[in-house]
Amino acid sequence: MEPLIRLEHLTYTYNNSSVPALNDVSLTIAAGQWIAIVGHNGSGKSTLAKTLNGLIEPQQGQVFFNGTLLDEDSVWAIRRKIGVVFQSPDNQFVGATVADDVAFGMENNGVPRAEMVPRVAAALAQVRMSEYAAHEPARLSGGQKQRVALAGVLAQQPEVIILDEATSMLDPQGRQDVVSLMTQLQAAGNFTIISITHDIDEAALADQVILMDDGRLIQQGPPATIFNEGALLRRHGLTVPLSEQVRTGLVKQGVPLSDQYLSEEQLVSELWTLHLNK
Amino acid sequence: MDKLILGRYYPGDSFVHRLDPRLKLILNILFIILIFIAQHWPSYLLLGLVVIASVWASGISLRFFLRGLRPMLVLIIFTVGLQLFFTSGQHVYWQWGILSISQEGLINAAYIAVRFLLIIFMSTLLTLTTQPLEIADGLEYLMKPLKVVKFPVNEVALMLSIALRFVPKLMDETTKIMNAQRARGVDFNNGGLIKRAKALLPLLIPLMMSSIDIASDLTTAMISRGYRDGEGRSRYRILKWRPTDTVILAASGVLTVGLIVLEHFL
Repeated sequence: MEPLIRLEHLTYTYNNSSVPALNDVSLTIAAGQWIAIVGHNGSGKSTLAKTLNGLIEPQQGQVFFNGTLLDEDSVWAIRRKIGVVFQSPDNQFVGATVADDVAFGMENNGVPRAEMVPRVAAALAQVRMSEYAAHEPARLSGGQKQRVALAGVLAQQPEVIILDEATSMLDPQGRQDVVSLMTQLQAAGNFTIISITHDIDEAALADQVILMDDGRLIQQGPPATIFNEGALLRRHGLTVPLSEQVRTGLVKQGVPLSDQYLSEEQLVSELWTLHLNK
Repeated sequence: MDKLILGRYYPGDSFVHRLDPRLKLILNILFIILIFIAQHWPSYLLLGLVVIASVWASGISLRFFLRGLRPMLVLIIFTVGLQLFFTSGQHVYWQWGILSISQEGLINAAYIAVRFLLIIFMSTLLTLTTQPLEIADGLEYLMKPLKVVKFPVNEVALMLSIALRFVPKLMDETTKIMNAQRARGVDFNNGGLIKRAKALLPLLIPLMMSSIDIASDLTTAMISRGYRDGEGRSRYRILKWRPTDTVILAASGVLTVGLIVLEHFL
């Protein structure tokens, strides 16, 4: 079966740089998955995301969306199916009020007003921001603004949602709100989520983790495989997820835990059932 | 900064608040024309009554209107003074070199003062009772005929609404930069004109840079959300022209005819 997104040998160098930001990257992403792209600053992960909806045109290589080659003719149709939430809550807020901002993408695509009104309302309800519909952005918190940005994406009924470090400028509460929303959306099963992040605990929620460094794809695999290799993560400038740090620490202390990566939930259940194994 | 025109909207739900912004814009323009048609005191009295009635209908305290007058005060005094001292006439009360106060000068100065007063009250009423965004929408609608001459009406309207949306953001940014520069020892409040102007430089350059950053981020976000140009877009926000708006427009028509007739017989 054709994967939803297929990248073939992408190479891209920014104008003012001699080092390629993307260096021969090939990968595939299947529909319905939650993908986390991790890497330290300047590893090329945001550049990679920008090639997906044609914001950046790679000098070499091709992007396929649902089997269609992304080019000048197909780019607008593909953009309609890929929603992006960017890093800065303020700088992506176009509308003068919350409802206006959610409607912006639909306005661009010429959706008739009669259809827009219920879609705006539904999207705001999904992100639990309905009571703020008439508010101005200046009166919202960062987390609320990102939820509005997410509503704007949802209202366009995309197939893919890209979160380009969408939680990195938020306080812990705002981050928690956005992450739990993403978990719910993913559970509803209608979206492919691509989350670009250097928060390794956020990446731990994904189905697949893609590790990038120096514009190259270092490794792609389920979180368990990637996080098992603490040394690999550290070598590429990342930390190890909290649950993994706790597990290795406890194992060193002689606590008989599994020698594989454990998610937070798995770790907790192993810990409280420990005495049963004695 | 709140004293800028943009911050002057006075939230409310009065009769005037609920009128269509397009109507309010048209009436403001009409009112300015009427002011210049009026040449006699009875006409001014009539227009004055209209202003008083409108202010009353808005339910906003007179204080706010007087506040709207303040930034224009220098201009008013200057113009009135010009009329007062430089109008030559037959009944001269006082003379000193080229300066003179004559009966005609006094009358002209009074006319000018009243004209200013009435126009400022009416336009203050517009900004007090209409949200900036509504004004932008109204302008877009009224500018529609300009599309014939290829004027990018939709783009200008979007530009206007984005500009309005970023006013608070840029004010925040300004405060932040000012604080950062103060922490580095820049003094914005003391010294002569030149010294103060120089102190603005370390404020303006970072502000400019951050505006460009914001603009670039915003562009990326807008393109990602499918923005191409003003064509083929639909509208979420709409203006509703109600029967009351038509009634007020008709009443204004009657007032215009009445004023012209009045002027004719005076």
